[in-house]
Amino acid sequence: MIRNLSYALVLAALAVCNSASASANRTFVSAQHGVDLNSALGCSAAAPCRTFGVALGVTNPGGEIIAIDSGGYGPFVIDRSVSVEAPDGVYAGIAVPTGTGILIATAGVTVHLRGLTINGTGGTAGSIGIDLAAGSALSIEHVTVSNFVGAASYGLRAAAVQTLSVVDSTFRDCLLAVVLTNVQTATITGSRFLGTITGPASGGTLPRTGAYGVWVQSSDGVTSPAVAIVDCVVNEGVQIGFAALDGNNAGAPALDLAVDRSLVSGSDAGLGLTDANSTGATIRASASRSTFTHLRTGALGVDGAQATALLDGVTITDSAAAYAINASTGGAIKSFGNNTLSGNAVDSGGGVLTPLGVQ
Amino acid sequence: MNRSLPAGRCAAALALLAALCASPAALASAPRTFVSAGPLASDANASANCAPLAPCRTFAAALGVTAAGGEVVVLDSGGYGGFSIAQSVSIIAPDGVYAGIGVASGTGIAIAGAGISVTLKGLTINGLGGTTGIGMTEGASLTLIGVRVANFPAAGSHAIFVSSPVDVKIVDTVVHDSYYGVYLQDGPTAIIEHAKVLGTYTAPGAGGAFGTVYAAFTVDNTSAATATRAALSDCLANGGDYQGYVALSTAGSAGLVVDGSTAVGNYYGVYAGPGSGSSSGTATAAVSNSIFLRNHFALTAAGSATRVSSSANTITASSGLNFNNLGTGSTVLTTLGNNGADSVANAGAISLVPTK
Repeated sequence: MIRNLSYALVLAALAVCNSASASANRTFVSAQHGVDLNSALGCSAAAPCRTFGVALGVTNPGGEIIAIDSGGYGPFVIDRSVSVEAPDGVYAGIAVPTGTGILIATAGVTVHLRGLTINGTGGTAGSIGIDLAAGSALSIEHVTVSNFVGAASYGLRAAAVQTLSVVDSTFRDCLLAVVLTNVQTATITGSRFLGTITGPASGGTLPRTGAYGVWVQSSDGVTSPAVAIVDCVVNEGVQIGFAALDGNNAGAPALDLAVDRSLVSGSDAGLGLTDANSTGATIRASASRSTFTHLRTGALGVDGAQATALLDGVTITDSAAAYAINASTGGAIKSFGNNTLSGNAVDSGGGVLTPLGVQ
Repeated sequence: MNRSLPAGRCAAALALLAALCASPAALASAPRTFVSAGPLASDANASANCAPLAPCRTFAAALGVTAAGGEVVVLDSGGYGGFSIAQSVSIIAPDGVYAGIGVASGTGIAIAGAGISVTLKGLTINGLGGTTGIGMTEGASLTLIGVRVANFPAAGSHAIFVSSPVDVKIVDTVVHDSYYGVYLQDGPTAIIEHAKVLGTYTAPGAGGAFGTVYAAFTVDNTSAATATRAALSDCLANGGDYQGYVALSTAGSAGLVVDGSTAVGNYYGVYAGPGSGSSSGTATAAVSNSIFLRNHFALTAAGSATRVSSSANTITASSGLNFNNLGTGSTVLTTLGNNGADSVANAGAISLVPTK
C-alpha cells in the first residue's frame, strides 16, 4: 500500500515537473519496485530506479548507487567516478548473455564495485564480466564473477589503469579470470579462482573451465606493473594459477609480481613467468609463504633470460616437477634456502637454484 | 488495596499527572531504538522511542532516546547524515542494509564522552568535502566492524581519527582514497585486523610524491604523558602512499606491530621515527610475516630512539632501499636474519639478531 502511494506520488510529481532530472550524491535501484522514470526525481530510496545505468546518469561524480533489494539489474557502462554497491544480503545480479557486464572506459575515473554478482549466462565467446578499458582506479570487493567460459572470455579484464584492488572476491568458472595488461599497481587479496574439470584427461591435457587465475602482462614499454596476490586460492579447475608475461622491448621498465600466503592446488602450473624478449625488460616474481601442490605439469616455470623467481618459505609437493627453468631461453630461480620441495616426481633438476642469503 | 483520596487531592494528583505527561522534557529512553529511511520514518517518533514500526529518521533523534549502553539499529538502506555521539551505544546496520553517511563538511561521526564505549557496525561514510570520517576525541572504547570510509583526500583529512586514550578495535574495515587512513594519536591502544587502506597510485618519485593516500595506518604520540600503540594483522596499504605503516613519536612512545600484512608501491612501506624535527620519545615498529612489493624504502628507522625489527618478511622490488636506518643515537633497525629480501642496497647500521 505504501508502495502504491509512492507510485502515485511519483506519477503526480512527474505530471507537474519538467523533464529535467535531479542528481544526487546517493541514488538507489530496486529490482522489486524500481522504475527508471524515477530518475526525474533522482532515484531516491523512496522512489528508486530500476537499472544501474539509469541511476548512474543522475548520480554525481564521487557518489554512490545502492541496490536496495535482490534481483537482476542488467549490464551497464560506467562513465564517472562512483561506488556501486549491493549490501550483504542483497543479491544484485548482472547477467551477461553476450558482450560485457560492466564496462569502464573513461579516463581518470575512480570506481568501486561491491557485493555484485556478474554471471555470464551464454558461454558466448568474447564475453567479459568487468572490462576496465580506461580509468584511474578500480576496486572490487566481495564481488562474484562467474561462468565466462567461452573462448576469449574474461572475468575481469583491466588495461592501462593506475590502481586496481580486488578484495575478498570469487572468480568461478572464468576462462581468463583476471587479466591485467599495463596496470601500474594491483593488489588481489583474499580472493578465490575456482574452476571445474569438464572431462577426463586425454593427450596429456585435462579439460577445465579455467585457463588462468591471474595473468599479468606488460606490453606498452612504459608501464612498470607491480602486482601483489595475497591470501588467494586457485583450484584444480584452473589450468594455470598465476602467470606473468613481459612482452616489452629492450629497456622497458620491470614487471614485479608477488605471490604471498596463497595456494594453488591441482592445476597444471602454479606460477609461470615468460619474458618474451630476452634483453632489457625484466620480470621478477616472488613466491612467499605459499603452497603449490598436485600440479600436473609443474609448480614454477621460468622462461626467458630476464625472468627471475624468488622462493621464500614456499612449499611445493606432489607435483610433476617442482620447478623448471627453460633450458634454451634461460632465466633464474633464487631461493632463500627455507623452502620445502618434496614429494614431487622431480624435486630438483629443473635447473639450478641460485642461493640467496636471508637478511 | 483499598484507598481512596479525598476529592481535592485526587484532582490535584490528576492535574500533576497531566502536567507530567504534557511536559516535553520528560523523554523516555529505550535500550534499543530504530532508524529508517523509509516512509514510516520520522524524527517525531522519538516521542515513541523510535520503535521498529515507528522508527526515527536520523541517528541524532534516535540517540536522544537511546539508553546509555543501548543500540540503534538501521532498518533499511538510505542516507542518514552525520551525527555526534556522547554516550555509550552501538550503531548497527545489519548485513543487507546500507547505511550511508555523506560528509559535506567537518566530521561525519563525532564521538566524545567521558568513559563511553561506542560500536559502529556496517556503516558507510562517504566524504563529500568533509575533513574527518569518524573522529573520536574522548571515551574509553571504540569498535568498528565492517565499516567503510571513503573520499577524504584533502591534505590533513582523516578517514578514521582517534585522538585520546581509547581502546580501539577495528576489523573488516575498508578505507578508500583518504589522506590519512587510520590515525591514532596520543593514547589509543588498538588492534586492527583485516583492514584495507586503498588509494590511487602515482609513482613514488624521488621527492616522495604519492597518490591519494599520505599515510595508511599511523600511530602518533606527541605527549610525554601518553603512549600510543597498535597491533595490525592481515592489513593492506597500497596505492602509492607516502607512508604505509607509520609509528611517529615526538614525545612519549608510539609502538606499531604489523603481522601478516601487505605493503605495495608506497614511498615508505614502514616508517618509524619522529613526526618532525627532533623527538624526546621512542617510536617502535615490529614487522613480521609480511610482503613488501615495489616500495621505495621498505622499512625505515629514523630519529634518535627508534627501534624497528623485521622478521620473516619478504621484501622485493624496492626502488630505493630494503632496510633504511636513518637514525642516530640509540636507534636500531634489527633483522632477525630470516627475511627474504632480494638484493637491493640497505643503508645505515642494520643489526642482526638471529632467531632462536
